[in-house]
Amino acid sequence: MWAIFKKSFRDKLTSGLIYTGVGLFMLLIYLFMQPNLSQNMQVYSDLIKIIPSNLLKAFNADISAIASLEATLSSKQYGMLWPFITIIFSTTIASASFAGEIDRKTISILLAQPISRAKIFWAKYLAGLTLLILYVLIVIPTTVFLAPIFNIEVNELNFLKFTIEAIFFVIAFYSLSTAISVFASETGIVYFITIGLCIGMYFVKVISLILEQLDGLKYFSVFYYYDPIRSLVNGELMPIGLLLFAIVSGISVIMAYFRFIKRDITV
Amino acid sequence: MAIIEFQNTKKYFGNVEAVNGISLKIEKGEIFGFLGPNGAGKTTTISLMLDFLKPTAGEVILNGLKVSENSTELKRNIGYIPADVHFYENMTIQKHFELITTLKGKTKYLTDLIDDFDLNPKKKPKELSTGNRQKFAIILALMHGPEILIMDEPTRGLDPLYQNVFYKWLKKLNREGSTVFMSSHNLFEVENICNRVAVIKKGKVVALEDVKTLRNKRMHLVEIEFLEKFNSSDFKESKWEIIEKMDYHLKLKVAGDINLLLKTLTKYQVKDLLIERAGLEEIFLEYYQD
Repeated sequence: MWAIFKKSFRDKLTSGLIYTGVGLFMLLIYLFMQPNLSQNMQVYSDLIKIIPSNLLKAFNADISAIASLEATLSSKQYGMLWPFITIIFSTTIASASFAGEIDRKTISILLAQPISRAKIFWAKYLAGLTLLILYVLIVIPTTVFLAPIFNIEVNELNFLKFTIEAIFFVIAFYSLSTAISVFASETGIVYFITIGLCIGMYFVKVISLILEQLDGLKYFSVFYYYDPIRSLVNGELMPIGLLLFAIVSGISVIMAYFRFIKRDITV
Repeated sequence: MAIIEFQNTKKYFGNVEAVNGISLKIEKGEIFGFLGPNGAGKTTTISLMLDFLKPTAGEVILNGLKVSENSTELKRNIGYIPADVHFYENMTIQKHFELITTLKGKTKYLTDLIDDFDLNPKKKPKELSTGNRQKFAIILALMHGPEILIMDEPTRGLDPLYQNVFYKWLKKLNREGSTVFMSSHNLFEVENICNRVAVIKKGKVVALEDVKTLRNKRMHLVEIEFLEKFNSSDFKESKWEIIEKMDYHLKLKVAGDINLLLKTLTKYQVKDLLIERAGLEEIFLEYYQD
C-alpha cells in the first residue's frame, strides 16, 4: 500500500507545487498591497457606501473596513478565487487517481498485482488527501509568518480557525470529487460535474443574498458554510458547517470505496 | 485437479451477453489456446479470471480458489499480458519493475528476460515502439515465473524474431510447471504452442479440442490451372468446397488432409497450382455454420 501511496503522491507533486506556488504568489501580492489599502481606507469606505449591502455580501465584500489583512484576504483571495482554484486542484487529483487511471487503462497494472482494491483505493485517496492538506497548511498559515516582514499585524487565532475551516472544505470537495471520479470513469465527466456543482452553488449563494425572498437557498450552498469573513475576520467557526463538511466527506468516501471495490473495471 | 475452471460463468452488460455460460477445465501444465473473432468474449473471459469484472453468474476457480473471494492471494502467482498494453508513460521501465517487485515480491527471471528481449530499462514507455512495449508487457508478466500465465494476444505487434524468444520462454516456464491460458488470432502460434484450444462464439464455447484435431480441421485454399478440361465430379468430396469453376480453372476450399487432392490432381495435366493455408477465420466460419 505504501508503494502505491508514494507513487500516487509523487505523480501529483508537480501540480501540488504549482498550485502552492500560485497560492503563495497571490498571498505575497496582498501582503505588498496591504499597507496601501489601509492608507486609502476612507476612500474605499465612501465607495462601498453607494453599493447595495446585499450585493457586497454576494461578492464577499461585506466588510466594514479593509484596514486588516484578514479582511483583505477574506474578501479578495479566500472569498472567491482561492476556493475555486482549490476545487480545481482537488478535482485534478481525484480525477487523475481513479477516473484517469481507468480511462487510460493503467489501472490494470495495479489490479493485476496481489494487492486488494481496498488498499489501492485508500493508498490513492490518502496520497491525494495528504497533498491537499499540505497545500492548505502551507498556503494559509504562512501568512502569519510572512506578515511581520511587511510590518502587518495579524490575528494568529483567526488564521488557525480559518485553516481548520479550509481543511474541512477541501476534504469535503476532494472526497466528493473522488466519489464522482470512481463512479464516472472519465476525467471530463468528473470536471464537468464537480466544477459545475461548485459554480452552481456559488450562484445559489449570490441569488439568495441578492433576492431576500430566496434567502433560504443559502443553506444549499457550500459557500454559506465556507465563509472566510466569519472565520478569518470575526474569528468564529460554524460547527454546523464543519459537521456538514464532515458528513459530505464521510458519505462520499464510503460510497467511493464500496463502488471501487465492487465495480467492473474494463481494461 | 483443474488449475483453471469456469463453472457456467456468465457476464452480461445490460442486454449484451458477453460471456454466456462458459464451463471449462484446464489442467496444470497445459498451454491452452482461447480462440474467437473480435467481440466473441475472449477479453471479457480473461477479465473475469483476474477479477477486473465480476461475473453475473457462475464462478471462475483458479488453483482451487474462487477468484471472486481470493483474487488478491491468487494474483501472487499470476502473470498477465493484456490485449492492449498500457503503462505509466512518464515512469521509466526500471521504476515499473521496482513498483511491481515491491507489490509482488522478488523477481526470478528479470535480468535474463531483459537480456533476451533486449530492452533498455532506462527508457520510458512513451519512448518505446509498439513491439518494444509488447516486450515490456511480456517481461512484466513473466519475470516472477508465475504458476498461471493469462495472456490476451501476447505476440501482437512482436516481430518474428522476438516471437520465437517469447515461445522459448513460454516453453521453459511450462516445463517448470506453469499453466498458460492465452487468446490468439495466430493459427501458427496456436498450432505450435498450445496443447488444447477452445473456440468461443457469442460468449459460448462452441468447440473444445486438442490441437491435433484442430490441425485436421485446417483448411487450404487451392487454385488450379489445368492444361485440359477436367471432370468436376472428381472434386466432389465431403470436405472440399468448390468456390470457383471454369473450363480450365478451379478454386476450392479443402478441409483436413490435402494429400487426397494432390492424388486426384495426378490424373490431370496441371499448368499451375497455388495452395494457400486458410486462416483461423475460415475455421471459425466452419464452427459458425454448425
